[in-house]
Amino acid sequence: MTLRVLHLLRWLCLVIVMVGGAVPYAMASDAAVQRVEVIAEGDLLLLDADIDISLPTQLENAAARGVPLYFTADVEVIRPRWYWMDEELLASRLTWRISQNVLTRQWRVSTGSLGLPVDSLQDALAVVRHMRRWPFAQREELPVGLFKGRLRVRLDVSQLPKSFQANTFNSNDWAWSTRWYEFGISVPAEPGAKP
Amino acid sequence: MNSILSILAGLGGVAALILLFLLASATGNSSRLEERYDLLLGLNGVVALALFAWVVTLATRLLVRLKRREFGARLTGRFALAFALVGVVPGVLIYLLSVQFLSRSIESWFNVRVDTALEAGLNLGRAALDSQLQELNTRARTIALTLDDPSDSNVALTLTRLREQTGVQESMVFTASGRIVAFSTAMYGALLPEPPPASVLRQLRVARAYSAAEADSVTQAGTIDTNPSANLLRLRVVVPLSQASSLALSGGFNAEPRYLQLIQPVPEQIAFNANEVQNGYRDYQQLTLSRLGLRNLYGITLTLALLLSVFAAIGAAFFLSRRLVRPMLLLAEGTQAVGVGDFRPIPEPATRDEVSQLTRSFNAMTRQLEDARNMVESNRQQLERSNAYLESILSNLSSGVLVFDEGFRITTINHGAQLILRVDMRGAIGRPLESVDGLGPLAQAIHNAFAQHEAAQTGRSYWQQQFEIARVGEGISDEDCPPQLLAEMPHAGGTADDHPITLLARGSHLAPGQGPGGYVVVFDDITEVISANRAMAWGEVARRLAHEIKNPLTPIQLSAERLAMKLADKLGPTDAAMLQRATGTIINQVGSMLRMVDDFREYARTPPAVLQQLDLNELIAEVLTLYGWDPDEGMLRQGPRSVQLSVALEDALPRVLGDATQLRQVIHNLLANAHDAIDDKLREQAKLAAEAADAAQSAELPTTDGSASTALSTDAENRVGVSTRLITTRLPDGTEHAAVRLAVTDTGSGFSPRILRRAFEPYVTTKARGTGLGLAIVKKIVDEHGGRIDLTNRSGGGAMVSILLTRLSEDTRIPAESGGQRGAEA
Repeated sequence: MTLRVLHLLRWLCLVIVMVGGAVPYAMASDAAVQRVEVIAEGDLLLLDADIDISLPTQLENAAARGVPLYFTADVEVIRPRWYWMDEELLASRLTWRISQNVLTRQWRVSTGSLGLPVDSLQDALAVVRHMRRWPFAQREELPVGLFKGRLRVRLDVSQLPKSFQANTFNSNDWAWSTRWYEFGISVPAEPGAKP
Repeated sequence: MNSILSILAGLGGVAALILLFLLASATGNSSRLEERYDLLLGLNGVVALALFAWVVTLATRLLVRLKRREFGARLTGRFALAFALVGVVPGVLIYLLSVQFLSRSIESWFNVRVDTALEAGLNLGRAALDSQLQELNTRARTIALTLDDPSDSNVALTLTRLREQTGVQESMVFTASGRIVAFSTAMYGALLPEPPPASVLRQLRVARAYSAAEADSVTQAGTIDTNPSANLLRLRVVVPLSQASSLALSGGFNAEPRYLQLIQPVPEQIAFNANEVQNGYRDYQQLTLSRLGLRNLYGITLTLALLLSVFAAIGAAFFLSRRLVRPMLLLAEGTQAVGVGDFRPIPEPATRDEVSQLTRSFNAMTRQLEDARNMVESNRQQLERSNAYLESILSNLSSGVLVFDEGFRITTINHGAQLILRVDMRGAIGRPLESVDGLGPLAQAIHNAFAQHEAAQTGRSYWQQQFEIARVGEGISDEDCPPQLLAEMPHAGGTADDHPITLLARGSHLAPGQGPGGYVVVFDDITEVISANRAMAWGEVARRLAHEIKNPLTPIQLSAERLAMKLADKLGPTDAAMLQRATGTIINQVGSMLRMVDDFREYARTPPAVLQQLDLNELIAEVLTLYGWDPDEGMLRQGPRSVQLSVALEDALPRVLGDATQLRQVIHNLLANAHDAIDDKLREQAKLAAEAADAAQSAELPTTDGSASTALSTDAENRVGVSTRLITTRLPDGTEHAAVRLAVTDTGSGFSPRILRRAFEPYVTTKARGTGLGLAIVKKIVDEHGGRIDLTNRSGGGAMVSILLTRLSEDTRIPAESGGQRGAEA
């Protein structure tokens, strides 16, 4: 009974926290974006990044039981404004789905419509770890100049059943995310030039 | 304003309900709202917060009102508490039950048996696949052995034959680098062979064999991810071909190792079931992992619902209680208003419930109350008016009214009584009459009268008696008497006279039946009536006496004359002289007696006045001329000492109706009186002066007749004034009333108070030689002319007689123009 009362109290607290607008994504993991490089190539802006990912055991367990994990990389290009909130020029995202077929014990990484069979979870994560040549934007989408960009990779719980979303309230593991990594991005005038 | 608020509140409530419903439906899986769960949660939270704020506001407001001990706050609070309890308690109960039920049921989903069962199912599927693989592997090795035969050079043909023999769906021979050597398939649609995927090649390099079940899509890397529910499982087995066959096939040198790959779809039944098991297992794992989250999810939803409903219930409780209490508060305020006399109706609620009925009855009651009060008020005013009317009648009544209570203490006293008794009794209310100075005899008389009346038991309701009491003014000096009262008192000149006044009093006992009992005494000063009666009696006596006396007088005179005539010659000179003296005396005395009798007769037997129009001024002038008045000098030339006349006759005096002869006599009498008064005064002064001169002579050297000259010097002040004036008074009913006043003044010594009261009675005189009939005759004539005569002492010494003639001739009643006074003064 005491436990129930405690639960009840926790829910109340959660509701209050939710209502209070506290960000539910507690960034407790030590994952971090280590390097970002933006390459302008033709009409596209490509992004290379290295991310240090070490999954919490709870997530690894879940993955091993066949629960698909969705990882999403968010990249935003913003122009700082001193007089108002920063202007968001561009927001782009890339989502990977890492899942294991428990019957055949095969892992698979898929992004968009592309599926890639891999041998293990680590192999699958390697795809996320080393982002290469992600065409996150068309050149025309951004004006010429020097802007601020930022990138983060997070576990995308919104793709999971809702009960997992609720999990994020009481378990930091399910709120896995890197911090925003900020980098400068310079959009060249003519295509092909290096930033 | 309130209606807008309530509409807003209603809309908010509906919105909150919708939100709650959405949240609840979003909690269920496979809902489109699933994605918006966070948003919904937040919105619901915001609504809950808003409700909370509302409730807190309402509660604080109520608390403040309670603390201020505002009227109705307690009732509102009680209602609100009751309603809130009714709303909240079941909600909380259901909430607790639901939470308990929820945790129990969620826990019950997960138990070890289900877990192991699912695990076992999964293993079973794997085992089935493994056995299939095993079998395919065996077949592969058989085919590989056959293919190893170097004699058979046509690998493709052999492969096809062997594949058809073994019943494998697809078979292929390829090199370690992935180059396809031979291919055969039972699927006629698939013409292009599919190269083995990189992962397979990689494993071959390590393990030289591969055997695995694959989901269909895995083999086609780069193609569209197939639906995972499409249970396409296939088995892939790769076995190495022997080095010999490789050599044979490659032409004998530097040959790459070759592999045989067989692909066989898992029988549909097995694949379907295995997939089902896998899906179930995955879902179960998901549920297990998100068990806490699930509980949180439901718990949060339930809690939010609880909060929403609780706050809404409390808010509604406040709202309802206020709504319920408001009409009662209105009623209560109305009651208080009625308590302080405000009978305005209170607004009636539009509803048709009992409260509005109560309000209506209340309003009806206040209306009746107001009517009753108005009636009482009007009655009171009417009573006051009639009281005031009676009061004014009483105070303006010339008769005196005294009201006593049963203990003979004065309760009411009117103005007339104070005037008649000449005493200020305003302070005597509540005291016995005896306590008022000088009214002891009157009080005694009244007591006696009541006692006698009581004792007599005549059956009459009142007694009537005539008292003669000493004027109480004797006891009071002028300072005691208020000046206002003194001024109003007639004949209140100079000192108070000690003459008794005659009162005619009526008294009656107020029966205590209606109102308090007591005694009423009404009295009138009938001194003047008695005086008039006396005058009339005198007239009668005089007339008879005159008649009786006059008859023998003429023979007496004639006899005396005859005696004198006949006997004068026959007597000696001494006797003759004596006879002469005696008869002279008789004749003289008879003559004066005749005159006196004539006067009496004149008084008693004044002929009725013959009223004619006449000019009073002319009449006065005529009489004044007789007195030696010269209109230019204004001096009376008659007499040893000249007396000045000041005459002020108003021009354009209307003609009066009067008897010229009688009025002439009036004027004559008055002038004679005035003249005599001055003469008397002068004589007295001369006598005093002579005495003073004698005293001075005996004491000192005789002075020149200074005192005489001083006496003469005062002559200038000795004057008789005659004036006429037109007096117009406006009566309250608007008609103008004109009168002519004739005033005769003198500078004599004035009337003594004793004379003043009875001056009009015959035989009252101050003169040594007067009959006392002059003023009596004047009074009689004036009375016959319907006029009025007043005697007053002038403030500067001397007396004034003023006659008011009110009968004016019709055509000259209103004078065309009132001119200035024509007068002459010397």
